[in-house]
Amino acid sequence: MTFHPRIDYATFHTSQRQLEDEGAPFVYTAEHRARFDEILKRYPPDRKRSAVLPALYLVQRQLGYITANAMRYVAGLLEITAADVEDVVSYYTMFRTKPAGIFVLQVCRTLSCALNGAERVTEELSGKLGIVPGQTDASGTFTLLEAECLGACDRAPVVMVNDAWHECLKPEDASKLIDDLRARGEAALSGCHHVIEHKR
Amino acid sequence: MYSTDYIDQGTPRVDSSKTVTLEIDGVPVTVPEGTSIMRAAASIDRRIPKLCATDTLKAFGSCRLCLVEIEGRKGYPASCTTYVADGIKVRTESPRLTQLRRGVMELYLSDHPLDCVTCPANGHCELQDMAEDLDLTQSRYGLSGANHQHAPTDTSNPYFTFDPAMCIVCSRCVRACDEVQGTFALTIQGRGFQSKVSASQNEPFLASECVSCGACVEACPTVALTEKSVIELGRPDHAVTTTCGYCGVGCSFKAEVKDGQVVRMAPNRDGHANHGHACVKGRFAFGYATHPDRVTTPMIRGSINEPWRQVSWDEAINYAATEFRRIQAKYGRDSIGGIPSSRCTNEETFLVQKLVRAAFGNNNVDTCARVCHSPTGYGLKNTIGESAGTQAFDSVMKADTIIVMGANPTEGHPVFASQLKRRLRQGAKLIVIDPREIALVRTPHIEADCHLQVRPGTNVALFNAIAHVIVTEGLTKENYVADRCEIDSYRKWRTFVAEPRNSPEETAASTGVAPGLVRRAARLYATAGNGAIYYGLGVTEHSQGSTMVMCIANLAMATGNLGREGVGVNPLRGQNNVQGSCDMGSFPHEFSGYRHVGDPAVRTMFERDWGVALQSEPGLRLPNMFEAALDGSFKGLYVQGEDPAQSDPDTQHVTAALAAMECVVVQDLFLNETAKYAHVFLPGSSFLEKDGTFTNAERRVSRVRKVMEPRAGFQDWEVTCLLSNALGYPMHYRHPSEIMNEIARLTPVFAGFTYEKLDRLGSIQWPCNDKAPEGTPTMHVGEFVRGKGKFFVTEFVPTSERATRRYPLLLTTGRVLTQYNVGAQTRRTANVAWASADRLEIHPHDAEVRGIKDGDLVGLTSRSGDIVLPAVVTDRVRPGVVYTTFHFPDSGANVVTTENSDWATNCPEYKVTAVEIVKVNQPSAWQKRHREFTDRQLEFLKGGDVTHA
Repeated sequence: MTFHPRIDYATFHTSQRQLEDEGAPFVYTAEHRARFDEILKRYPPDRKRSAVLPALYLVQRQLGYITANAMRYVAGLLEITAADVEDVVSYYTMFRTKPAGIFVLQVCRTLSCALNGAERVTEELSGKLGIVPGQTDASGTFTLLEAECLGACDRAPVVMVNDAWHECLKPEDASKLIDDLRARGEAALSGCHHVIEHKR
Repeated sequence: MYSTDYIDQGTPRVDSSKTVTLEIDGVPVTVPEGTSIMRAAASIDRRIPKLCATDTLKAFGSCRLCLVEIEGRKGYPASCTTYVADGIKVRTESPRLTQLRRGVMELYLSDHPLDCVTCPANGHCELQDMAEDLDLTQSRYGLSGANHQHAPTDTSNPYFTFDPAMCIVCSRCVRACDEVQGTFALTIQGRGFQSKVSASQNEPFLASECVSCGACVEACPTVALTEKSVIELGRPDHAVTTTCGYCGVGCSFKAEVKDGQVVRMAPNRDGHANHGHACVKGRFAFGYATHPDRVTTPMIRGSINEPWRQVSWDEAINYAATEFRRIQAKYGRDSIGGIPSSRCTNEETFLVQKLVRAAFGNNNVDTCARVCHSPTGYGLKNTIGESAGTQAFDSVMKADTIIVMGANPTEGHPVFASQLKRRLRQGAKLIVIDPREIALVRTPHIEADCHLQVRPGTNVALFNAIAHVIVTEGLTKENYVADRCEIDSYRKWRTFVAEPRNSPEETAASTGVAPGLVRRAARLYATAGNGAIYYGLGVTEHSQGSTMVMCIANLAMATGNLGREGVGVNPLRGQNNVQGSCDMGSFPHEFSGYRHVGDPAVRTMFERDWGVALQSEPGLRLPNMFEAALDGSFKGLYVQGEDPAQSDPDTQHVTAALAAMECVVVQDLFLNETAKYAHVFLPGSSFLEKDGTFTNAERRVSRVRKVMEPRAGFQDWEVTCLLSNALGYPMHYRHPSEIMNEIARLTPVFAGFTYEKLDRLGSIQWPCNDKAPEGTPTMHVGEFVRGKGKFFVTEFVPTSERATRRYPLLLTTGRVLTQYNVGAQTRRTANVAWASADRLEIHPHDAEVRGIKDGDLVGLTSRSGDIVLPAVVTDRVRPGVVYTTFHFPDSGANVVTTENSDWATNCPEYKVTAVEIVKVNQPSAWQKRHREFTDRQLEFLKGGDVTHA
């Protein structure tokens, strides 16, 4: 009988996680924690798990991506298992598990945007930043990605920057967006016209 | 990989009084409403192809193989997720269905290697079966497209592997982890083609939250999750149904065997206690039975300072018998005794007590229940009349409020815990009473409504306070009490608990529990429908253990929570056969069936049957034997399958007593701690090597069947017979069934037992007699066994063991999931991968003032002794309380426990020891002496002359 290996009683087991980024121990900043508490009020006390998506967006806003420790932190807050959070993070493409730049540019490449020159937008941004989609520039400021339909077909081509839209982007204007972002941050973005019109 | 001979019905059974009649392939079928079409079809032997469905899990509808046609409905619904409806006409076979199923199957096969012939699951693989049913040997897509064939196998778990290349992502493992086990450790990670089964956060199984219960392995339809033993040894050739030898849940297993070797233990889906589930111990940790440490030759020696001499069975038995008779001649008839084991079978235990009473001629027989559940026996016998749990495990599925007190089911009784958690997820309320924050208090999917974090040693005060609330707030069931209980005793009890000094506010100072919490818990238990109490050794192992059991019975009677399903008083028994060993008369004062040796009618019956005069006075209890040994009046002991030198309190007292004896005979699998003080060693047989019965915590008697030949040639009961014969009292049984017949003949509650009936019914809950020929799942229905239930006044008397300036902390002890009691078995399995040493849990506050950090070695000192352990700093324990386990002899947890014991039964007060803790850097003096002693004894084991007979 060899299938029950004899293990030295004195040695403790030390398996290593396979997750790419354990990250530092995570807690929300006071501001994010307050925001989280606010979000939690939307759900009945025994349905805390429903807040998993906004809770993870807060993490992403704070760190730029989601680490294993952050997932455990969120699991603890929502009283679900780490596996439950892992499951959500790995399912949704807008959650990142690798470090990203301060600005994450997602160029829509689905039909309407594609017909209106999305590929050229990507080329323009690639050229300006010296990276290909999937990469982060050397300064750690910009991450370039391609995305499927962002739901703004009537203003194609559209780029999503972090959590906001930038619409009616002519390919030749793309490199200007980079400069504007550098200069003015997210204020440089056009925003979503639905929201803008709604506010008026 | 599925079990050998079980036919899966596809979806779970539905209990409904309404039935529905439909037509499947032209055959009319009537089934309960809510049944799936798949299960309805299975009931007429139409096996609809399936992969993701199994009858232990809710229907999921992902594999798309079980499609059917329903006349008049569009499309091809999945038969697992489509319910039956009156009058529908279902077709399970058609050319179109075959085409669809083949199409789906080809996609599965395009990402699955076709090396069935060399696969460990060959012949037991559902994917293979389905492919064969659909006449497919390969996929038109081949394996050339994108696939998962190069994904690495996870071999981290010592008992099973996960090979993603073989996985068809049916989610059965994930659902088994959720629905059956309730751990929620597994998930499907990623999306679309990248989807894969992942443990916790995409971790190796061993590092994840997985508790290695094996439910996922059982559920896997392919070889993706497979026991390493199956991979290594190959598929079993036959299976033997038997009962687990670990905890008191008593799971039924099919031991699957190849060439006389156990390949795997598959939980029996027809098992009444476990319904196809198991835990890491029962399912996987059976390797100890064939461990090289097994001693398989009888040995003798003149003194414990001499090497062992291997001898023949005859010589060993004759030596033991001669010594016992010599001692009796010199020191008197009462100078020897015997200890049967709660791990041995009913039949073996019965024989040991018979040996003591009939062949030794005294009543010096006592069992390890003395040190665990003897207060249960005393407390329940006096209040409700029978010293046993009142319910079947399944009763918990009808409970509305559940109190778990002094028990840690997820570690100690994992399979019952899974059932309990299932009920809690359905909405039952939970009250946990424990000084520690056990896992049930808060896990991701369940949470206790109240956790009363009682200070060790104040249980009775707390329960009096709970009773106070129930009585003073008028929450008692007066009609029930008037009808079923002794009303005088009730009035006295009522008046007592209603006294203001028993109020939650007054008792809070001693119990440390906030009065508001006590009131909330009391109201919850008394008012929320069916209230059930489950308790463990945190209740009994106290100086007021018996009082506490009476507190529980009082409360259950006063609230009408006895005598039907969903309620009751349920001691969770620690070992496989604690209930049975008590039932079999292994206490010094009782014959089998809890009848006092002083009762002349009973004694006469035994005398007539056994043909020998029996003593009418109770014999020595376990602690009394050790005291008598130190006094010089007790000189010989026959210990079968027990290890008091590790398990009993105040180790140094016990070992001194053993060393003072002239003939200690130990019968065990291993040279355990007690055997190191023995003069005769008789090799024992494991539960896999014998026939007999075990009785679990719900009074369920189940058959133990021989799976392999006894390593040393004899089953334990045969050895007892040999010893008795050598002592001049003949015992001749050809098979344990003959012993059971004797038990039935002499014990009214067992009168209806035969092996034939056990084989027929699978298992039987005693009482089983003319009144209840098929056993009794729920006791005290209509009337208490005692007649009228009797209340006892339960005055709180604080233990003398309390925190002082010198010993300011209170130590309490318990177990962990992967190790089992003294660990003689589990330490010799790969379970050490999870728990490799005893550790001391200490609250951060207590740690900080002592400068202790996680992992530091700390010295633990009580008035009995001192030991050294690594510390774990955790807020699972409350400030002022520390906690450790007692699985490893080298740590010696019982060196620090004291001689204090229950006033009625002498059950030791393991759960309260005043201690002080300091940071140290080397083992304690006792641990060093113990190490040296052990090393010398192991030398003696090697050094004997080998004279095989």
